[in-house]
Amino acid sequence: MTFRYLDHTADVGCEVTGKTRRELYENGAKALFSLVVAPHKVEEREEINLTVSGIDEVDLWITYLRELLCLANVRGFIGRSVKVTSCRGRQISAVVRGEKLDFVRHRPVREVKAVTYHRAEVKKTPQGWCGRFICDV
Amino acid sequence: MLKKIDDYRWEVPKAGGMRVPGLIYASEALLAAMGKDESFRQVANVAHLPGIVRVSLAMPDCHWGYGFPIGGVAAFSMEEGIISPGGVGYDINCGCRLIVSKLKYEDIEDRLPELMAALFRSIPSGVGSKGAIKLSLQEEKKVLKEGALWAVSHGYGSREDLETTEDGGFMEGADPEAVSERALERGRDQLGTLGSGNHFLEIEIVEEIFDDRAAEVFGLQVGQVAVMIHSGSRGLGYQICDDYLARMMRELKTQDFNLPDRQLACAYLSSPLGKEYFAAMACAANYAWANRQMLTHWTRETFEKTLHLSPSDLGMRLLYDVCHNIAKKERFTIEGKEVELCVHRKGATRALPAGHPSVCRPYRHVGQPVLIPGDMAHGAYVLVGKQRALEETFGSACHGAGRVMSRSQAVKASRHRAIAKEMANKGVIVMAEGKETLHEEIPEAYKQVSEVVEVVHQAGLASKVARLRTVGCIKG
Repeated sequence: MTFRYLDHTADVGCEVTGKTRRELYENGAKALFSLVVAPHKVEEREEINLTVSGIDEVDLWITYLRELLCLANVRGFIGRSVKVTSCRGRQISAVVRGEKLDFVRHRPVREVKAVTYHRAEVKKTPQGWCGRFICDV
Repeated sequence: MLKKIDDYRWEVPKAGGMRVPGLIYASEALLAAMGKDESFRQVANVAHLPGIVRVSLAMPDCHWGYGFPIGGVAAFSMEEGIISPGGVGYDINCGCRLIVSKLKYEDIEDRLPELMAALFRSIPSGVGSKGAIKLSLQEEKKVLKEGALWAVSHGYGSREDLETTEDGGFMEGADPEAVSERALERGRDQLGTLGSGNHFLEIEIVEEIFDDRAAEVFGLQVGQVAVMIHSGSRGLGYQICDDYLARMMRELKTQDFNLPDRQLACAYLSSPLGKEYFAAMACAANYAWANRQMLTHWTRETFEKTLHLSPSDLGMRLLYDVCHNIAKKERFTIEGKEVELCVHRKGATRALPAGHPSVCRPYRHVGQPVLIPGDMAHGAYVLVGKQRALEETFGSACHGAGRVMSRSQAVKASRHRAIAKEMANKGVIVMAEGKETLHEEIPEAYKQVSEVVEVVHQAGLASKVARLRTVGCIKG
């Protein structure tokens, strides 16, 4: 399992795993998209390149997820998958594959207002990498 | 470790880096529910923030939020204190308003399904809902500066509505230049939309009056039809909070204090960044007031068209409009001195007593109406602010019932149930745009609103005026 949902009284969260740091970020994107729409309804018709940086690992993780959510909420683009192309230090570059958000066809599950810093975490584990984020919905 | 003060007050004693103690308003039963999540710790975390005055407060509907608890109230010194986007919340000026009418339940009982269907069509709701208008950038900036007045001057309601809106539906100091392009983009086509999740429009019937005098002044009578609207600043507010939290988070390393939780990221009120956030937040507050004003207008219009009644026959008057998520500069007497403080209310309602100059003129001799919605099945309450709130809680009370189940728990618990049918059996017509919304919003996902209200009443923060029964509910 690459991610699981966490219970939070007011909001929704995800715990994400990956064998590598790159995979963690790719799976984090999938987890986030699944909070917005049913992933199987999204087709990979377009690509968007993304580069983000953070002041530390947790900030990078949350900034990256915030940018992905911003694609949906501001640019009307919903991703299905992400390929991390570079992951060095506190900067990450990725290609987001998806399509224009169509409220009729994609039937969004919920309105995700934002990805928060609350209880955000990224850590290296014996199995690889683990990250956590909570969204305000 | 909590210290019992009386049946409704519990102190979180000062410990570690806390600058002040915490104070939780709750009955033993409500306290037990709060103890299951991280509410107590969050009350203590808020007490770490620089410039906090006297106490970190939690109202009886308090539950685990992100950074601040939902139901949290804290006031900060203008000189030494901070402002925190997380202490306001993403949905800036999410709030609630109650519109009363001349109609009695028997006037609409037979037409209720038709009325609900018409409201569901005319009030844009649900994920990604867009308003009936798309604003030009220039016009959007006017909304941000003018608030509810913009809506009224464009034909959405009347000037009388402004008088019974908290602060006249306008916050001073709004500067659209402090709002990012992203936030402006998110807000452009969402003005005049209800939103999703716990946002709602409900038809209520006044069921019981507790305080005849206040009820008379507010214009409430048993059997009367009313409409309650709960909505906020939509994507614009979410994005402003998100933008400034990130900026403040990145500047934390330059600050002279440490935070127990990144989500509490903040800036000194006197700093350029603190001032800039306040100016942006005020824009979102104004947007939210304009939004609720437009929803009010379409509600009135729908009643008129569906029931074939004139505005004067309907008499749909805005009783009051309150903010739930806001940071406001307000004046208080602290240790005998009058001072201006920045009060953060995150999931809390202002509750001012009789005689306070900020209570609008028609109600000043009885106090400010405090509107407390509950879940879909258990109606809502109207209370009136009391002196003790001014002395203890910076003039604040609870804002609702408060969640007790997470959304996923609620969905799991009700997966095989037909919620709309269950509610219909209880005499409530419910409609929702999102397929999971009704499951997320099942009545048992919330605390009992009567219990929450009782705490506020018994603690003397606000007293009960009327209880409303919900007969129709539209969720986003």
